[in-house]
Amino acid sequence: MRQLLRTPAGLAGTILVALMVVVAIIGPPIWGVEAERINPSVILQGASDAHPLGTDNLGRDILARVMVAGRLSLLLALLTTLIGAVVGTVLGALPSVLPRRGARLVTGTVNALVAFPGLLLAMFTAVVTGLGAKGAVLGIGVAIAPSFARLTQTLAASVAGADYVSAARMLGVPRMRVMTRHVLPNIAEPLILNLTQALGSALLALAGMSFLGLGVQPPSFDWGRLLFEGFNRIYDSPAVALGPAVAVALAGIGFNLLGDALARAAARTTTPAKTAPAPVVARQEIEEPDPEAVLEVRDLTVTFPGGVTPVRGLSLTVAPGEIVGLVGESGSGKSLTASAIGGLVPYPGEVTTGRLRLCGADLDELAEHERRKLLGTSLAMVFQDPMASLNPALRVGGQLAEVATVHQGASREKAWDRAVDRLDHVHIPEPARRARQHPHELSGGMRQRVVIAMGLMGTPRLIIADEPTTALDVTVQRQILRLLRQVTAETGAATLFISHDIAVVGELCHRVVVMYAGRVVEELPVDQLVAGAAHPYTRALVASLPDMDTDRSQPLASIPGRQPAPAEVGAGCAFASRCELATDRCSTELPPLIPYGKAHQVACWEAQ
Amino acid sequence: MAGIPRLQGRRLLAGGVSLARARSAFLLRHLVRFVISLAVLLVASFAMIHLIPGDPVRASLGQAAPIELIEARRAALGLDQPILTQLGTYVRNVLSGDFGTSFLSGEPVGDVISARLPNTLALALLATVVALLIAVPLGMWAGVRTENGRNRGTEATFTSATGTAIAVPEFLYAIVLVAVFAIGLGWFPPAGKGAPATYVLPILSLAIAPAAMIARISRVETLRELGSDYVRLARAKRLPAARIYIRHVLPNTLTATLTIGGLLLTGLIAGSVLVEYVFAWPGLGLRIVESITQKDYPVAQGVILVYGAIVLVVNLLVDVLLGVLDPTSAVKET
Amino acid sequence: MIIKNLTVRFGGFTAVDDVTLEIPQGAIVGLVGESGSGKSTLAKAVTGLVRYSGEITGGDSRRIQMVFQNPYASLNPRMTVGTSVAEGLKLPRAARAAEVERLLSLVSLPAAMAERYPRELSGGMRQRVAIARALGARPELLVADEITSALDVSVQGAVLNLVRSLREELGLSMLFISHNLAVVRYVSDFVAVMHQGRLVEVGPTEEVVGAPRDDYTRSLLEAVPRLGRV
Repeated sequence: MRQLLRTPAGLAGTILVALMVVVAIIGPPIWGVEAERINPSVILQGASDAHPLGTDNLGRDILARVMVAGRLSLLLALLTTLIGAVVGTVLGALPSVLPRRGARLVTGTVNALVAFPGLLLAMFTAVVTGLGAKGAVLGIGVAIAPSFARLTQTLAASVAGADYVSAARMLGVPRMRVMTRHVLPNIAEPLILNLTQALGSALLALAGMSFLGLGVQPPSFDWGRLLFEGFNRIYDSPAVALGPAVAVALAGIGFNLLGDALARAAARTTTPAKTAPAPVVARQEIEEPDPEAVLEVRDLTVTFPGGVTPVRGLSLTVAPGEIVGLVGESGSGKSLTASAIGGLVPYPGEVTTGRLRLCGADLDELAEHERRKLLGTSLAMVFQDPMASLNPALRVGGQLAEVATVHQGASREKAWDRAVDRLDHVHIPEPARRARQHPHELSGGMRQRVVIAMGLMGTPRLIIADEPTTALDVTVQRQILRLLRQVTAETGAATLFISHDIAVVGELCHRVVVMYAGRVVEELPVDQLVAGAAHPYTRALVASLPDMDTDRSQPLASIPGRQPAPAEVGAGCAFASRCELATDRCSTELPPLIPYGKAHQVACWEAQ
Repeated sequence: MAGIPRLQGRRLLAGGVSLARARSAFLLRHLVRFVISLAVLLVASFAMIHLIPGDPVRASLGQAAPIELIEARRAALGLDQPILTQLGTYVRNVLSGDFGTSFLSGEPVGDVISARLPNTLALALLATVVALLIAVPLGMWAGVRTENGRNRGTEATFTSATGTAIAVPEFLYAIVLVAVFAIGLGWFPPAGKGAPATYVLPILSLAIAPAAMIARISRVETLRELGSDYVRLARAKRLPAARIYIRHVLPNTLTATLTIGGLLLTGLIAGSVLVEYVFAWPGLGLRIVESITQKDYPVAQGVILVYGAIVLVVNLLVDVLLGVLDPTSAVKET
Repeated sequence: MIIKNLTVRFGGFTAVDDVTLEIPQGAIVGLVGESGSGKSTLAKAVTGLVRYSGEITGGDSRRIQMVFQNPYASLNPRMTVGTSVAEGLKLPRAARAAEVERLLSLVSLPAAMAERYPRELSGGMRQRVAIARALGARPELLVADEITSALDVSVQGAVLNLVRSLREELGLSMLFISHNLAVVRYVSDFVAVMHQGRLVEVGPTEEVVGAPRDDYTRSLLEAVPRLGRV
């Protein structure tokens, strides 16, 4: 409730709906007499002090009539909505009970009727039942039903397909109980939300029917009927029509805003993070830049509002021809590191760096267009899901070619030819034909090749591959890894390979960088990974991974506890609470990343 | 953050041949569905007259009408025939363009429809075009401005403004526009159809609410596409922002936008009844209201049938258009 | 339990093609295959979630339980852990709390966990709860469908250890499905390899992994990433 009142729209909706309810309750007792009092001396008057909205053809006060009409308008809308909701929910639930043929018939009918405008159905019933509220209520009620039916159907289908419903069915939980305990509670909320909005549209549709003279008939009157009577006089005294019009509009707006706000409040399941002061990251002395390095990152930090810091003071150097693996579990900040290097951290994340150099150029010092060109042609990125990485609406070749037309000023034909050439280069058979296809016509592995080919349109110096094989089968993974190795060797580019899978990293990479809770905890040559790792986390990670030689008679190592979330990381070593070797010092003092043998660095007080 | 490693769950679609076959099957399925719906509609409009309690002729002419007149009217309508014969005659007549004769004016209903239908269609189509032209760019702009929850002020303004605009029905816009711009300021004529200026207020009153709705959909779709990996990749390629929005994002948002746009067009046709009434626009809407209040059943029956048929045609066109625009949707549906 | 000539068709597509597989009492049979191989469909058929032809003999086919891949979808978000676990128990109300506590302790979770809602639990803990719920039905066969593929490595080890200890302590028979051959090798007594809906090789783990007879099995083994293979 408090959530609801927090936004201005929610507040306005709540107030308006409350106002309508109050008017409906107190309207007839207070203004009822005046609304019916016939006064021949003040017939058809415009707005005046005595009659702010004027009088009608019998001299009755229109303001009083507007206040009284609220009850009938609301009650009819309520009745209409109830008819629609009951019929609709039953229709929507039917397919799950009926045999397949019947279910398809119901679904088909509902789908056909959903698109049918309510007003048409209402006019149909008005012809059959004659003019009056009955026809309007029935017609509009029936017209609302299909949308309820459809909503019930989609909701029930999505919940009925949920794993927890399957589990309950397997446990032999009775059908009724599955319905009442699992399905209904999880679909009730959106259904009730829909009720609010349906109430608003029913009210408007009824007003429309009455306004046309097809709905409520005298001597009864609702807002629409008052509008009908006032509209004929709109040229002489607009207030007569505008009064009821405003009442209808406010009711419609109120129900709609309230429905919107309710839906929003229901969708917001998580409360915003508490704001904590952003941690002060100790700046390290930065040595001279390395002219050879393709990528040089010093002191990279990514913060989000509320003191959430998923990447903390990360430093990394990658040399030409080198494949560096960045490994860590979900939430370690490895992917965000990749995004930060590519300049793709989403709002409201903030990136600060002591130094960020790509191909010998300091990215912070380059002019905007130079930086775009450098990143656009020298940096290639590959993401996890090849299904999502290509634009489904565009041809594969066009997506490749645009890199050349945009950054290298190539003509369309030249760019297309190069695209086909690049597809050929990543071993896509029949590249000319494939280039003309859309992404959905390609397999997952082939799409990932296309993404890699896209990076080869320029002259890549650095390839950042973020979990590029996680969504692929092992045999396809093998081919993609081979391709990455080949491309790195040919172009002399460097590859930063990000993965949760330490075995893949161990197979592909020359050097491994291990991240934990936003920091690098160890950096080591790949041949040291199995036997020479110094950090307890790296060692536990290697030990917990079953491979084809693991001793099956021994239990697997596992690490108790869990990685702290970015907002929970304390002052000391983030791994201390899960570490067997941890001392008091570990939880209070941050271990720096220091050299530990050749090409090997570790951040641990207890590393032996 | 990588999150949970995903397993590849989707199965590859088969090659081009079966895609073409899926597409023609898709077209056929929609055509069959259309014909069935049309048949149901025909039966419904026939049944409408027979569902009226009591005698429709007497209801129309009033209790005082002489019995000879009623009998003659009944015979003219064929109401003395067996019901199936009546249905057969009705279907045959409708298919040959004979919708009966008006009780009141005696003119053929077919003439009424052919004279008035173009006026209604012009109104509805122009309103749809105006709504799309305003709403799609507006929604995209709002989506780009509010990506990842930036510019919360813009977001709040946009959602409450469109929420309010959606909640006000077309006839209230019409009344307010007439009161302000026709009666108050005198900028536009208050009613009738003629010079281009007479089109402005009816089109506006019809277009505002659908435009707000489409703008919302367009924003949500834009936000979804902006969050997708291919946009991330396009940004990594450092493509110009305008190119990303127009070449990459826009085509992918259009599918959903047009679906809603098509549904709104059918709603718009219904809304045009009210707007025609306000502006005394010489379309079908004005005529159907008269015919219902005055119990001129042949006209009501014919016009409702035409409205229903328009809705079905629009739905068919939207479905087919989607199938052409989004080649995967045709296959997905199976 | 023996799965005999099991076939699943979706329209004209045969997802599982005439599979015959024996799961010996108290043994873990690992089922590997790539996406689209039909292994998950086989699991759904065995547990009665999809229609199939063929038969399942040598046990009560109603006493087959399953644990799903996604720990975030397999528990009703509106039920406490205790309610979820208790739901399938055929016990008088009074005995339920004690049984829930026993089941939770089987999967090394404290009894207090029964009061919590799924959103308060980590992925690994949710998978334990799902296992506890399945154990409550005293299954003759437990089908585990990719139960560790959504978990981080450091947590995966603990769940795999749990799977093994359940077999040793309760003599549970299990069909353990995974795309990860190393994981299957570690937990299983027998390995079955599926490819395009068919079973291409079945045998004791050491034999299938050490001396594969089928070409597809060999290519699968070859593709397994290995630490330190340069």
